[in-house]
Amino acid sequence: MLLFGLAAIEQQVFPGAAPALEDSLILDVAKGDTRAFSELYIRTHKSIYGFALSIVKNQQDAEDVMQDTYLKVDRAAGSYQPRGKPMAWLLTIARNLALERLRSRRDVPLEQEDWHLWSAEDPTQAQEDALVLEAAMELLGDEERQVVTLHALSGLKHREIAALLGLPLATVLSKYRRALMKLKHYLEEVEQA
Amino acid sequence: MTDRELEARLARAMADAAPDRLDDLLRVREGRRAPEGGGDNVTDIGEAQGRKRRSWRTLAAATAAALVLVLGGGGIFGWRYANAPDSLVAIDVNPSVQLTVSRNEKVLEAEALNADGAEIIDDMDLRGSGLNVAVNALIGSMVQHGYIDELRNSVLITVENSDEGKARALQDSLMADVEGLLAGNAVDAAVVGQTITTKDQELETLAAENNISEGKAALIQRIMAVDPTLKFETLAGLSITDLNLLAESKRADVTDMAVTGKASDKAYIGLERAGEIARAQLPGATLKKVEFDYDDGMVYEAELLLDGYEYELEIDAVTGAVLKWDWELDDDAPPPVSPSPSPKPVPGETAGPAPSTPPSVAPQPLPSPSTPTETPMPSPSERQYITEEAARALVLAEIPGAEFTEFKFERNDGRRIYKGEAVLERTEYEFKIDAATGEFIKWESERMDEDDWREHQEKQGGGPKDPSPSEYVGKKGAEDIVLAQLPGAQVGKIKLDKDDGRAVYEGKAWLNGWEYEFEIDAVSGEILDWDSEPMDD
Repeated sequence: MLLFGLAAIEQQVFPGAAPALEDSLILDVAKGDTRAFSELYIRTHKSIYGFALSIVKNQQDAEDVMQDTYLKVDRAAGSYQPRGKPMAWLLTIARNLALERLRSRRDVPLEQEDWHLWSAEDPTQAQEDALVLEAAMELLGDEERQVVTLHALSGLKHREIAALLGLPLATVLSKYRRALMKLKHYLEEVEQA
Repeated sequence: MTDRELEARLARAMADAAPDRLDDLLRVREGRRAPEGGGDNVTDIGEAQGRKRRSWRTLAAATAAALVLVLGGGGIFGWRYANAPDSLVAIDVNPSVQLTVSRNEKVLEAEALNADGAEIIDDMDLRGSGLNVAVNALIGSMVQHGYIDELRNSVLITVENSDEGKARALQDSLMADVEGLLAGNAVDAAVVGQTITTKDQELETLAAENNISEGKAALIQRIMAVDPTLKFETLAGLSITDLNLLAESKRADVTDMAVTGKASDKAYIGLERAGEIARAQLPGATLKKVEFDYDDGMVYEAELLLDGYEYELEIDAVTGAVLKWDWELDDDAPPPVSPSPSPKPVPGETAGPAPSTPPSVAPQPLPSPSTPTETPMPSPSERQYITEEAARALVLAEIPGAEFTEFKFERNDGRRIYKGEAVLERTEYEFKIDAATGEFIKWESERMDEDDWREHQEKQGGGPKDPSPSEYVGKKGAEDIVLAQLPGAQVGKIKLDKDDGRAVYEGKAWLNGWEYEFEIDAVSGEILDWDSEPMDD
């Protein structure tokens, strides 16, 4: 069961390929089931972290938001209403915590982040990937970045993103398109240089 | 670069950046649940740890350690650089399992790639164990769970390592291991080995999308290279035994694969029996070819020749029932000896062993070239073609009571023909009639599957429909919705379809070098799906 969850981590890199989260997992977490909690974490933490990062634009804050999200999920699981959308529920919690954090540190200047991160498997690819991450952080508007992150990393559909961010679908669609276009132009320039 | 690739890169970068804090979380959670833990004051783990920024390298170690903690595995496992991932070993039967293996052949991670694989791994903790111990355990579990037996005896071993020599050595030793293990379980195994030495993005994506290993994806690609009519998604669901049989039957290029043993076809009636069934359907015919194939299930496809006609039969590989059959004038054959070929597949009259299920779908066309006397003579300007009415009568003589769904008069290779389709008792017939002679030149029959049948019934006006089409926004309405999103776009053909029982409009649109694919709820007009991609990529 848990190992199946591990497979899901890898699959999340391909949007939509990971099996959808079940309501029952949250209900098990509500019962205090440690295995369920761990499985939930393993299957979703990359999505949660990425989404938090797309809002707070800072690794330390994103990490804190991610942790707080799971602690909050653990506390609030009992009040979860199973409607077949556990991922949206998790992301909503993460979003609220991230926005809260943004408000509280409004006056603190951000230090320059280094987006070239270490990756275990293939350093060349990691460098290339980091370039996209860097571009997403530097070039995109806040909503553009959030939309494209939710689509790419969590495999959410545009209408689900619209519901989560409280934006009209048309806005989500155009932001998504603009975001990809900006990233593509940037990468083409860099790769030609 | 496509949108998908771009998104995959961003997703990978973010996933790589994500730290693993599960161990910390579990500790905090534990503390909170402990009776004297009280309070809710430990929410900020970062603070508790003095907010020391850890390098990504140590985070990876933490990940590994945390996972061991979760899995309750032994405490011996440690992550050291010397134990860095070296090879990927995939074992496919129908369960697919992938092992990440270090240089010293220790298992770093065991991953189930599909649900069957998860059942096999169950709660075994293979991390840290030697590769041969892990393979032994996995194969044992597969036999125990009934995934490998005399009927399904094929195992695919794929070793991924950029060092070709190393990959091949590992492949050979694993193949020998598996053969030995299965011999010990009284299974006459067929083991197929292959190596992958270069990363193939396409293969990786296909494998991930279909929840199979890259190895199995590579085997499927070999089969599809010789038969592109097959679909990747359907083949992905087949066991290695079936794929092995297909590869053999279709003569897929397996020159650089190592193959031992023979895929078992004991679950099926076998080529010989399929040939017998085919011949019994058509006494006197020459059996040209029998082949194992896939068409909504495993089938044998038989080709027979009789009196200048070529017959094709599809036989269910498990039951021996004739599922589909058609015949056509064989253009390559010498002119038929008899001036009036009269193909007469009469299943009931055969002397040979009858198929276990009578081929109810087999028609008994008796095309008679004799001039239809009761029909009016065609006018001289039309030369001596039979009338449409007469042609319809010829078809109805074969399948009385059938409804025509299509009927056309056209020129085909300089010949005038009537062609069309008719439906009778859930079987669909396709025919061509030589308009000059009134002779059937093609006759094909196929049992309609659920979808086709429902669609047919709906077209005929019957059948229940949930929201009536009068409530639909209409194709024009759907087009307007798309144009509202993409002013000035060119909208392609819009199709009304069913998606999970809900009526939707599907189609494509193009604007400024981008292609958009959309799905719109037919009743509400809500955009359900929207994809965009540059056209030149």
